This record gives sequence, structure tokens and C-alpha cells, in this order.
Amino acid sequence: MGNNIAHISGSPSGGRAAEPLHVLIVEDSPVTQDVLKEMLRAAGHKVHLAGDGRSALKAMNAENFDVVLIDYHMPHMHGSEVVREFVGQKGEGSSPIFGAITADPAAILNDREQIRFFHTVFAKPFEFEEVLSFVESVRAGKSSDAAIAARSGAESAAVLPLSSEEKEAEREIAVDATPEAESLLDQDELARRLNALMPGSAFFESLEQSDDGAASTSSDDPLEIIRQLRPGAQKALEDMLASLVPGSENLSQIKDVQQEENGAAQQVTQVEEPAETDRPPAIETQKDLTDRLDALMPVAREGSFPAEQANAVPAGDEGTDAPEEDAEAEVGPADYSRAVLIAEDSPVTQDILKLLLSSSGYEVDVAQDGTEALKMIKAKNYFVALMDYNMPGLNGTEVIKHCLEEISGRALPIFAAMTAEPSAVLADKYGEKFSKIFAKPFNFDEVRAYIEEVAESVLGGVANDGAAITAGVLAPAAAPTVNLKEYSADVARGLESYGVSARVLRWPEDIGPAGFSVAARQYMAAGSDFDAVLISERATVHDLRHLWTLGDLHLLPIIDETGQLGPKADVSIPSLPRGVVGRLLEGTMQEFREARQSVHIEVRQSKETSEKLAASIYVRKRVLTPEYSAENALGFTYDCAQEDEEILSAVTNLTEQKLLQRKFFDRFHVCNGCQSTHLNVREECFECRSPNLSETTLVHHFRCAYQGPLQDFQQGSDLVCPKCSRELRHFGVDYDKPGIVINCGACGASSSDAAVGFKCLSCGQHTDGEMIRTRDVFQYELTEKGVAFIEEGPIVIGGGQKQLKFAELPLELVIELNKSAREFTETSRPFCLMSIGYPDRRALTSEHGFRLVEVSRSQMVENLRNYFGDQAITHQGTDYDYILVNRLAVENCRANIETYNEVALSGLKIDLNPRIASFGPEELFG
Amino acid sequence: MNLITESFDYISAQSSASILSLFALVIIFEIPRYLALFLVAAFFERPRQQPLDVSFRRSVAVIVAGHNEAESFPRCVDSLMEQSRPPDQIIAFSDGSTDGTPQVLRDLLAKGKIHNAMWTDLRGGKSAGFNICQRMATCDLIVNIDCDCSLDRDAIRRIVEPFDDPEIGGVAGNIQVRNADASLIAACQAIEYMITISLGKQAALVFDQVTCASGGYSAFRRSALEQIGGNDAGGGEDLDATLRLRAYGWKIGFRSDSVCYTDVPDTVAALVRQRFRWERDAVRLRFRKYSYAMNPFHPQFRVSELAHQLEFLIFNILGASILPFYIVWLFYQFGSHAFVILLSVKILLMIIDFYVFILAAMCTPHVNSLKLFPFILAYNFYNGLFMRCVRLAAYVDEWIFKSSYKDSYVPQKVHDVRGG
Repeated sequence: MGNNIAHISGSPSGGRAAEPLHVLIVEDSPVTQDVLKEMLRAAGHKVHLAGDGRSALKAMNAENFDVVLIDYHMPHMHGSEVVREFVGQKGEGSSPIFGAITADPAAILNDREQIRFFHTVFAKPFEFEEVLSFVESVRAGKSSDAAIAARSGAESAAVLPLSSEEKEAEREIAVDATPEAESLLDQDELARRLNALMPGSAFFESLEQSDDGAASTSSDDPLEIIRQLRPGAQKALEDMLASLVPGSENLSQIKDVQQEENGAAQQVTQVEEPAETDRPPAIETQKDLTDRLDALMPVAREGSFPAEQANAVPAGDEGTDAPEEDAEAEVGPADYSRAVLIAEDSPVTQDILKLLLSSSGYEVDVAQDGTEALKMIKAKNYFVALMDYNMPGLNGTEVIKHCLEEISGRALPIFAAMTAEPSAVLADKYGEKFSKIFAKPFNFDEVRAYIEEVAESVLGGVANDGAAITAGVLAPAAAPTVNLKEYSADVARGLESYGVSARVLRWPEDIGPAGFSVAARQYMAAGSDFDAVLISERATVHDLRHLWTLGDLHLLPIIDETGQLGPKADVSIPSLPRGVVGRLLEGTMQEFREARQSVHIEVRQSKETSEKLAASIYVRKRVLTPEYSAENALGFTYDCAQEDEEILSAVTNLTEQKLLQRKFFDRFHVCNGCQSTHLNVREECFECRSPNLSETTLVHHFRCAYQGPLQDFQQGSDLVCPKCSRELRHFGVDYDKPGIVINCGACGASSSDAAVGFKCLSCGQHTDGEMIRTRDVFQYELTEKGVAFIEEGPIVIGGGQKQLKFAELPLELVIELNKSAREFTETSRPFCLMSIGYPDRRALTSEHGFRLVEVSRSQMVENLRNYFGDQAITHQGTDYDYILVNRLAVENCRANIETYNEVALSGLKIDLNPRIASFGPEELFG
Repeated sequence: MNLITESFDYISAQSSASILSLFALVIIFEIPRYLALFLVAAFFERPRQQPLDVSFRRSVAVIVAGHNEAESFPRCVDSLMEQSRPPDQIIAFSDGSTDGTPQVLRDLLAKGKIHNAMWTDLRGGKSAGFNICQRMATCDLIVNIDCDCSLDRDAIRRIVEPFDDPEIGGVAGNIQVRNADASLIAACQAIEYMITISLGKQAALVFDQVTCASGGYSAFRRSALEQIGGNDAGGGEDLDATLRLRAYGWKIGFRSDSVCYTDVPDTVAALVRQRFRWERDAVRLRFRKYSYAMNPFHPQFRVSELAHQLEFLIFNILGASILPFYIVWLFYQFGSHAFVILLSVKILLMIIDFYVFILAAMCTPHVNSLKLFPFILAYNFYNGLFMRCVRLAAYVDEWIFKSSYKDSYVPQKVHDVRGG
């Protein structure tokens, strides 16, 4: 649709020479992609990007391009394979002009079979100007061609490439002459050739095709063309026209026309689908998808344009596509919602995708793993399921497999995969069921565009709804495009100066006071991770609060280059000797990485501040330690990059749940006025609270019983009694000094002791020592239960409590439990459910291998089953195994738990160190 | 029985003159005093109680001094805070305590219950302690209280009222016994305190003869104390100070309705020790330090001072000293009839005691005197025989050994150097 807009905007504005070309860039490097795109857009062309051969084919099938620049070496498919497949499908007649981009021109030149498809080859590194001039020459060729009318297949065939010999010769020359040449073809020569060869304007051709025989021949008339557009494009178009054509009649006219056309369109297309098919319901092409949906959902298409129009599929191509145009005729009508399922185990990616898609108007559900994804797909109709390929439980293709096997009678979502290893997906038998594979790191724009595309086909573009659909969190439409590749490289260079290679989230470049940068968001949305947070300019914990809002970013180590975060940072570089920084950084990041991986996925995804804090404590050596801090009004600060007030409220909660235990650290005196701990502590007069005190000795004159401060007696160097005027001569006989006296210089009062008072340095308030409030500060350590909670998730300890969550239990077990519960109520026959967790599973797996651990687990469960005989029903889950034992009271079970443990472990090669918890009827149902 | 009948016959056979001589002791030493008391109780109005605001006319400081009284201090201070007329300043003094009293004072100070606290590491005696506290006091009046005492709610309010009279330099409080039911000896002391203080000082007040504003509980005008230079070293400092105030021309008042309770010794030994100290100090002060009061040619001689000196000489010293002679004379004169005569004297005295006790009870507010009633019989022996013997022994002891210069109430270092 964007395509159409581009054409229209070009059309009224001027001559043919300025007409934009429709260029497809097929390139796997985001940097190259982005730069080419920027440049060509700047030159007034409409650019479409494809990251690999498959998407390129899909794009080419969906739209007609004038020029296709294709990277020769790409994942999945070679550039030449793409071209060959495309030409094979469509025939050369409809082919655009192909240009190859390669770092190894020789490879293409040697491939005689392939070379003929390419009009030119750009050797990397090439100057973009070369590409531009190539595209310009194509445009020149187009506009100079008088025969603008539709290009026929025959013509195309005729104008297609030079003979391979010719080309080869030329290219050899070029390569020989300038081995590092940017372009293999001489500019003049190219222009000449193109002028001769270029048959016509793809623009008009595409217009005609999108008209789909629905009349308009006056393709110069913008209103006519607008009529062809679907409502989703209208807003953009209106804006554009408003800028071009002053006056609003046009717009209302457009709308009227549009509405009429909509009405008409409903009657236009009836696509006939072959009834029989043995193809699975995965979708290979966009057309395939729309066709299928057209067939399935006549209702959904109401008010929308025919899918063919939307996707601008050339009518003539239908024949070629016929074998693939299959849909499940047996599948009944589906009530497609606007729901998107994201199955992804990285909390960050989850969060961002969810945020972006839901702000684009989709209903987004998140599944943590394959199993859950399957469950959710079964329960609800999603129009797209965006799945991580590598997930705990079932992986992406297994989910598809199960869907195919287990779901019938309704449509399946369109599956798209996100993966760091596309090859693995493709190698998989079911890999091809993914209609799209996003290779990590992918550009989120791609995902969104893809989903929008699908949504338009499936839901008639309702999602866009004319509003600015760009997710608020992403860059506004005007913002510069992010070059992810470049960005990734930047990110990876963050710690270069310390000789460490790590991907760092940088303050203030990537995360600023207002949140994450567009690039960082896209980077994370593309499924990429960070290893650490790097603070290179002064930041406060408040500034870093965003780390706690997105996924599990709070579990990243914080590396502080400024040294101002103090104990809040995990590594404070200024305090380290230069030599050890690199090693220490690596060590820290490694520790964090390992610790992060031990955190149960549900805890990593938790939105609860307290659970986030618990996880943070866990990765940070399991202890939350306060440290004295003069900068903080509290007087201390916790070694965790969260605001201390937040921490304090969260730890209270966690301590109540016994996930943390506290240890006394210190008692702070706090100003009664402003809560500050910045107090001046002083000795004061009890009477007037003045700290102006002086201490003197007390003298007791025995003879007359006068007792008073020394100064009363002092007369020069003599001591004379002020009462009886006798001289004090003999210490211990005449007089002695029985104690001290403190005199107040302000009010003259005297006393043996001074009061303690506090003067607040922040607000100036004075507080008496007896009245001052105190605050006890504790160190917090994760309890065993806390560690279990973090590592094993809230399943058994359910949110910190011992409640077993039924929803988490396998269905079979729940059924059995219900039976037992019924028995219990009716006949009081006791039963006991034991859940067996394996806190050391991760360590054991890395030590002994997955297989041995799993076999031992099965063996162990078997042991127990044998021990309990037919009273026991066992169930093996992923994280937990369960044994339901009838006729066993939970008290007895608890008493004998040691025995069970022994029995369970007998004959096992490895010590599984299981954690057995038992639940009786009351705990389960009470 | 025979003996009694015989004795009766014998006595009835005597002439009135000889009967008079028989009961000489009683007639001379008891009846005039009791008569005076009767007169006072019957005919002299007691001081009028004033409205509360009167007691606020002058500011009041209370000095609480003690040695090793960690437990008593808080209780005493609490009773001060409970006063209807709370003191404006409380000054606490710990005299070389070793039982953690300073810590107690520090706490009281920290809680704001007392205004000044002072302690010494070395014991210096009560006088020295009082002196330093007295100079810390900023109020018009100073109330001196032992920290083992506790006060009736109105005690301070009543004790400051007499200071409206500008001639009053000190006022004695009415000290009564708190532990009357601790032992027989304590009960006897309770009766003794009622009679000698409530009634005795009330009577003395009428004749301006109050000579001792007791160190246990009394109030002074600060200016008066400053005039006499505070307390002097040595025991009996309360009597000492009072006598000096009188010597300076101040009048000493008494308020029977300003009641202070104290614990008295509940064993004979403790009681004897206490009374030895009191009597020795009294003898020492009266007849050594203030002997000039009996010398008509001394410039400071005044009749009012002579009166109480003579009173003490006759009723205390002579009364005690003559007892052995009287008994010897009785037996010599009457042989076995002496028993009967003594018995009859006792019966007579008991009747007088009964009457005096009722008078005293009338004069003593806030004290449950009814429960002391059964002890009047014992009191008779306590006061008539036992106390007389104790006093006599104390006088002899002081006269011969000057023991008041050695007792432990005052540190030895003070005894060693003090004069008078």
C-alpha cells in the first residue's frame, strides 16, 4: 500500500523524469540496508527492504519492483537463487532489473548459470553513489522510453539481459582493471545499455494490476487511484494530498468515492479455491495467505478490499502460484481476533514486543514457552503467532507440529519465527511452516510491518485504523531510522577501552532519564541481549528506574565509570586498580550471566517489585547489604540500583514471606522533622539545651561542708573556701575532689551530666536525645526458601506461599487429585501429593548431561512408584515430578520423608538431591 | 494479789505530801507537757489552709539527696511529680554512691523528671551534698527531703504556705511512719512520731519553740539558707541549721498537714543506733556548739533560745538521767512495795498516754491512727523506760567518748577536721 502512495504522490507532481522507482533491497546487513534505503529514499525512490531471500521472494510476489538490488551471499538463499526462482515462477517478462551486491564478484562471474540474471554487480565495498547512479539510469531509461504502456511478457523477454558471454567479458575487464572497483560497469556504458533495454514503467504497470480490471484507465487521475486504496492508507494519503492539493473538497470526494468503491468491492472478487489439498496450513507467500483467508473468512473481508488488490498480486501470476494456493477447506470459519501470540522466553523481548504491538492496537498475549504457546493457541484464535524458535518445553516447530496434529476445524495462526539461527529452523522438517523467519537481531520495524501486513490481509487493516499506528515507544515516524547493525556494533564496543567485549546498555546513550532510546528498544525488540549496564555519566538510581520496568534488565550488572553510584553499582571502575578492570568486568558479567540463567523464568518475568528485588538480590550474591552513605538522606544505601525507599517497602514484604531473613546492621537516629539522618549529635545543657558546656572538678571542703566547682575556690594559685575563708592546703585532709561538674555557659546551670541532643543538618530542627526517633537498618539475605523461589519459580511456593497452584499442575494429575479428594470427603480416605523439585538440576545437567539426569529422574520416580505400589499415581513434569499417594496421610508422609528420599535415590548413579514437598487435602483444597 | 492489796493499803496510808513525792517524776516530767499539749490542742487554732494559688506565689526547689539509694530515687521523684503543687525544680544528689545511683539519676534527668542531677565519686556527707545542691537551686524556697521519704499529695503545697510570713526562715514538715506494721518497735515509733511531731511540734509552734526542721522533710527560704552559709559539717545538720536560723532571728514554722512518710528502723539494734546518733548530735550541738544560748551574758543570748535549751535539758536529759535514781530511791524507800508503786505509776501514765494519743491523732491528718491504738500499751514501756535508757546511754556515751565525732553518718575525713 505504501507502494501505491508513492506512485500517486509522484504522479501529479510532475514529469516522468521525477517518477520514483520502486526499489527492493535484499540485504542481510542492517547497516547496508539502512544506508541504501536512506540514500534511495532521499533520491525520491520508494524502497522496500528484505533481509533474506525468502522475504525477498515474498516481497517480489506481492509487489512489482523496478529495481532489485540483491546481496549475493545471504542466509538461506543465494542472491542468484532468488532471482532464478523468481524468474522461474514468473517468467522473465515480469522481472525487474536486478543488481547484485557482493564482496566476492568473482563468485558471481564464475557462476555462469546465474550471471545472466544480473544487470550489474556492485563489489563491496562500493560507493553508494554508484548504486544511485545505477538506479537513476534505470529511471532515465524508463522515462525516456516512449512506450509507456504495459510491458508485455514478450517484450520483457526481449529486453532482458545481455547474453551471458557479453556480460562476462565486460565484467572481466572491469574486474581486471579495477579489482577494488565500486562498480563493474562503466557509467556511460550502463546508461546506454539500460536505455536500450528498459522497457517501461513499472509504476503504471503496477497500477493497472492493482486495479485488477476494476476499470480505471485514467491512471493519471489521483482520485481514481485513491479509490483503489484500502481505508488504511487513506489517512496517509489525505495528509499527502492536503499538502499537495489545497482545498478540502478533494478529500471529501475521495472519501465518498472510497465508500462507494468499498461497497462495490464486496461483490467483486470471489476466489475459487481447490477443495482438496494435502498441504499443511502453513503459508508460503503473502498471496497464499490472503487467498486462504479469503476463502475462509468471507465475513472478515467485509468492508475491506479484496486481498488481491491489497497485495497487488499480478493477475497473470496466478497460474504460476496455483499449486501453492491451497487452504484447508475442511477448516471451518474462524473468529479471528486481533490477537497476536508472542512465545518468547526473553523477558525483555517479550516486554518490548508486547508494548509495541499492543500500542499498535493488537491484543497481545505472551507465552513463556512452547508448551504454554500450544495451550494458548488451542484456547484462542490468534492471527499471528510470533514464536521464538528455541524455547524451553516445545520448540517452535514442535508447537506447529502439535498444532497441526491436534487442532482441526479451525484456522491456525500464521506462524513466524524469531531465531538467532535461521539455519536451524530451516533444517527442521517443520521449519517451512513458518511463513516468516526473523533472524535475531531483527529490526523491529520488520516485525511490525510484517504483522501489519498480515493484519491487513486478515483483518482488513483494521489495526491501522488511520491513526498514527507507530508504537509510542518506538521512534515517531519522523525519527531517523535506526541502523541496528551499526547499533549492535556500538553496543558491543561499550567496554572496548577495558579490553572487554560485551554488549552494554549505556547511560545516557541507550537509557536516559526518559527511558530507553529508540535504538535500544529496537535492539531489544529484535531479541538481542545486553550483558551489562554501563554508566558513563552521572546518573542517579532514580534515573535508572527504567531498568526495573522492562523484562529482566534489573538483573544486569551495573558498571559505573563515574564512581558516583557508589555501592549501588556492581562494579565501580574508579575504585579499581587499572590493571584488573578487564578481568573483573568479565568475571562479574560471567557471574551475573550464570546467576541470571538460574533465575526461574516466571521470576524473571515478574512485574512485582518485590519479586524483581528478590531476583536482583539473588544475582547479586544473595545478600542485600546496606552501606553508609552521606549522600543519601537515609544515611545508608543498599547495594542495589533501586531507590532505597522502594527497596525498604519491598524487603518488608519479602521478609514477611520468609524469602529474606534480616540481620541487624545499624540503628540510625532520624530527625523528627524531616526524617534526615544527617544530624549533629552534641552534649547539651539539660536546662537550656545549649551545647556551650564546660567541665570542671568539684571540690569538697570537709571542715565547713562547702562543696562546689573548683573556680569557687580559686584565688590566684591558692584554694580558699568561699564559705569559711579557710585556705585549702592538704588534699585528702582538708578537702578532696569528689567528682566533676558540668557548667552551662549559656544559662549557668550545673550538673554532673550533660544531655544529648540532635540538631538536624538538613532542616535545622532540634530534637532532644530522648525524643529522637530511630530507624533500624538490616542486611537481608535470601533464605533457603527465597533461593528456592528464585530458582524454581513460584509454582510450588506460589507467590512465596506454600500454596500449590492447581493451574500449574498437569491435567491428568488434577483429575486424579479430584478423585482422591472426593474419596476423602466421602470416606475420609487420606491422600498425599508429593511434589519433587530438583534445585540442582541445572548444575547436574551441566555436569552429567541432560540425558543422564532425565533418566535418573525417571528412575527415581519409578523407585517411588514401586515403593508405594498401586496406591501411587506418578506424573513427570518438566520442572517437577508429582506423586499422588492414596491412603497415605500427609503427616505420615512428612514423618517418613527421609525414608522416601532414600528409597527414591537407591540405585541412582547421581545424587539428584530432590526436594520433596508434601501436601495433604487441606492444603490442596482447604 | 496480796502484794497489790498491801501496796494499796500502804499507799493509802501515806500523807498527801509523801504521795506527791512518790509520783514526783510523773508530776514533774510528764503532766506539764501533757497539759501543754492539751491546751494547744484544745485552744490554739491550727494554721489555716490556703487556696492552691497561694502555694504558687513562691517558686519551690526540692533537693533530694541520698547515698546508695538507687531504688528510692525514682519513687521519691515520682511522689514529687504527683504533688498538687509540683516543685519547679528538682535537684538530685548522689553522695558517692556505689550502687549505680548516678545512672538512675542520669535516666531521670534524660526523662526530664528532674532538673538537675549531681553526683560525686567520693562520699562527702549530707551537709556537703546539700550545700552544693542549695547553690544550684534558683527558686525562692528549698524543700529538703530524704530520698527514702514519700510525700502526701498536698505536702509541698502546705509546707510552703507559712512562708507568706516574711519572718519564717524554715518550716518543719510532719514526718510520719510509713512502715508502722513492720514490727512492734516500728509501731511504737509510729505512735512516738505522732505524739512528738504532730502534737509536740504543733505545741512548740505555739510557743515559737520549733527547734528542729528535720533533715528528712522540711522547707527553707533560700535567702535564709544563704545567710547561714548552708549546712555545716557533721551530723545533726538539720538541728544545726535550724538553730543557726533561729540564731539569725528567723522564725521556724511547722505544718502538721504537710505529711511526709518515712521508714523507721524496725529492729531494736537499728533503732538504738539511730537514736544514739540523734541524741549525741543533739547534746553536742546544744551544749557545745550552741552552749552560748544558755549564757545570759553572751551577745547572742535570747530567752526564746534559752527556753528550748532548758526544755531539752529538763525533759530529755534530766528525765532520762533521773530515772535510775528514782527507781533506786523507790526500792530503798518502799522495798517490795516499789513494784506496786511503779505499776500504779504506769497505769496512770497509760491513761495519760491514751489521752495524748487521741490528741495526737486529732492533730495528724492522713494517718490511719486507729490501727495503732492497740500499741499504746507497748508504747508506754517503749517511751517511758526503753527510750529513756537509750537516751541516757547516748548522753553518757557522748559526754564521755564524744562518739558523735566518730559515727558513720559523716565520713571520717570530715570528722577529722571539722570544728564544733
